[in-house]
Amino acid sequence: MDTNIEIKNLSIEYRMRNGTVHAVRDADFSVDKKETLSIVGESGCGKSTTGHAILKLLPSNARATGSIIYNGKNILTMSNNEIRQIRGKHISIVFQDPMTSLDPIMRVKDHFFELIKAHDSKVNEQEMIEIASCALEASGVSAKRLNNYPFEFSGGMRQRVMIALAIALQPSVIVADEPTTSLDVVVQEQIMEVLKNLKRTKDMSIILITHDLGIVAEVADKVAVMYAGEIVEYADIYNLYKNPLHPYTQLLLKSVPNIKIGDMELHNIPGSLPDLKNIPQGCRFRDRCPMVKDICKKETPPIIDKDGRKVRCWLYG
Amino acid sequence: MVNDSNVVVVKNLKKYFLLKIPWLESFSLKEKPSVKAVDGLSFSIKKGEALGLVGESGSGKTTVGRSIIRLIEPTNGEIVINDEDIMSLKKEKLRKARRNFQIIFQDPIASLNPYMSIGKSVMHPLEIHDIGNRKQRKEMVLELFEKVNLIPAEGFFNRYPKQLSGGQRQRVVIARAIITNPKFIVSDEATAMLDVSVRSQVLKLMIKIKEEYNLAFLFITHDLASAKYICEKIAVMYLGKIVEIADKTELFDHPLHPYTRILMGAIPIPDPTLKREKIIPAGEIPSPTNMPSGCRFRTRCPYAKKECGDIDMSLMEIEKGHLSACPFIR
Repeated sequence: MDTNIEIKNLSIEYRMRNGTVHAVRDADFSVDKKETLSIVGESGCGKSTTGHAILKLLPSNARATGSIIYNGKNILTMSNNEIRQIRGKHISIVFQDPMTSLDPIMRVKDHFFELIKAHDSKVNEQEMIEIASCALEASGVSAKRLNNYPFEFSGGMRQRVMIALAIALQPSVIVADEPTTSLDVVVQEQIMEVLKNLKRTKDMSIILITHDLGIVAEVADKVAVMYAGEIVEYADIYNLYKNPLHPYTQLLLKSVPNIKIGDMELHNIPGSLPDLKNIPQGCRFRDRCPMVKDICKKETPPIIDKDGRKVRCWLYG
Repeated sequence: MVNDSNVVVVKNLKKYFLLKIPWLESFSLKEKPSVKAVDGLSFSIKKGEALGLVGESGSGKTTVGRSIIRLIEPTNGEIVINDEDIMSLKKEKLRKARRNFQIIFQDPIASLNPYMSIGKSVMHPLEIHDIGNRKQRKEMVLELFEKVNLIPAEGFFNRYPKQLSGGQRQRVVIARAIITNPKFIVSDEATAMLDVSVRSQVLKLMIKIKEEYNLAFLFITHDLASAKYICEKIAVMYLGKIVEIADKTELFDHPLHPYTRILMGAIPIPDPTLKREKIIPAGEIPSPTNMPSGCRFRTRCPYAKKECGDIDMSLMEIEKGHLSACPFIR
């Protein structure tokens, strides 16, 4: 299969007044065509930062090193002009909150016109309406609603409009940053179905950022589990759920209620995330890890290859 | 321990929000137009029992939670909590009765005063209800802090909400809710904003508290999986009505109402090997200002027939203790 986008040694720091936050460290992953990669983790683990870096959307106090290779070029070293050619057309993003991502005083069709014109100024209105209608229908919104304003839509419908905008120019990669977190289960199901269909029919790669391990199980092919800015485990979906290697993944899976299991015992992960401003030496999970060893306190675990899977833990080294 | 005595009995609870219409038009209408947010709800909760109230946003579940403790005035209905007729209570008496029922909201940051140390926040209800003297109050707070795992209690007493994590804040709110030793607690999406690893902590704490104090619990949530974890009984709500109510295991093993089935099918399950047959309904919850006639779910129901426009949605006992509002599926 062809690789669509490849991320190598990506590290991101935020410079703050009171120190530097090491938000992402040494992230490595790649996404193939027609594949969904899911980045999972708790809030503050760096998953959104990673997602935004792919479109160079980081705030000005962020510094990213490493490389994000798309079409043979490194996105991190692109000029603003170059990345603007890519955003929306080759790589697009769906944000968590559809209320704040659409302009309240623009009709839905104007959102599309703006997007299309930014990439091709010669398209006429008829063609633009056609592109917009196609995208809306594919996302489950009737094309009749092109003249509506965002406030006339419900939350779920707005998120569908966002998805329609993201797919309008048939990009090869979509970054979906918690696309259903603010929505109800039934609507979430509908939206996930839309994303699944798009992937199947349109040769797209989806990078799905979420904290919900249930959704991941239903839509993803590969999973990268992040903890405190590091990818601690990277595996295909079946292996990850059947046999999680990293202690963090194991605990995370045990803390999700599952309606299919009778009286399940829920576990929780004691403690909290380390301070990302001054990270102690050694493994970042060691203070909460039930299987901590001496070496975990002294040395940072490298990424270890275990039966074709990648895990960052001394248990396997 | 589920005891036979009912702590909470709600009968035919209604809450209509009146709509604003032009003054002139109001003369030509017989009935003022309103949003029927809660439309004739009846249920009871026993001592030591948790009832889960689940449904999509807009189904009216939060309105139920708030109107049974009269944070908003119900339009109609009977509410008895701890043998006291809540509807008939006047201002001062209602305030005094409030020590017997408390609520936990979704957002702990919004429910804690940022300028008050958490110790003082939790002590506040004791002052309001005039329980104990200053020394005793502080002791009660410290004791409770240990119970909800804010340890060391003494160290937490003088901290402020912004110095705590999300899970710790929610534990402070829980402590404040139980300090007056209530008989009944409403939890309105109390775990919705928390991360998975923290959510399970708070869910466990709620079970522990419920069992230790033998509380009646109304657990309002959109997450069936959490409801299953914490509750004995579950009621499913759709557009202001309960469409199905049953014991937890019975409901999960034999869901009857089509809406319950859809809701259950929509819950993502953390198991990639599981392939489920899915019924995905069309569209979204209709606006409560313009309710469909007959069965309110029929516009989205995959099994809808012609007759569904005529039925009223009263609950029928299909099996012992298992009530459903759909007359066609048994």
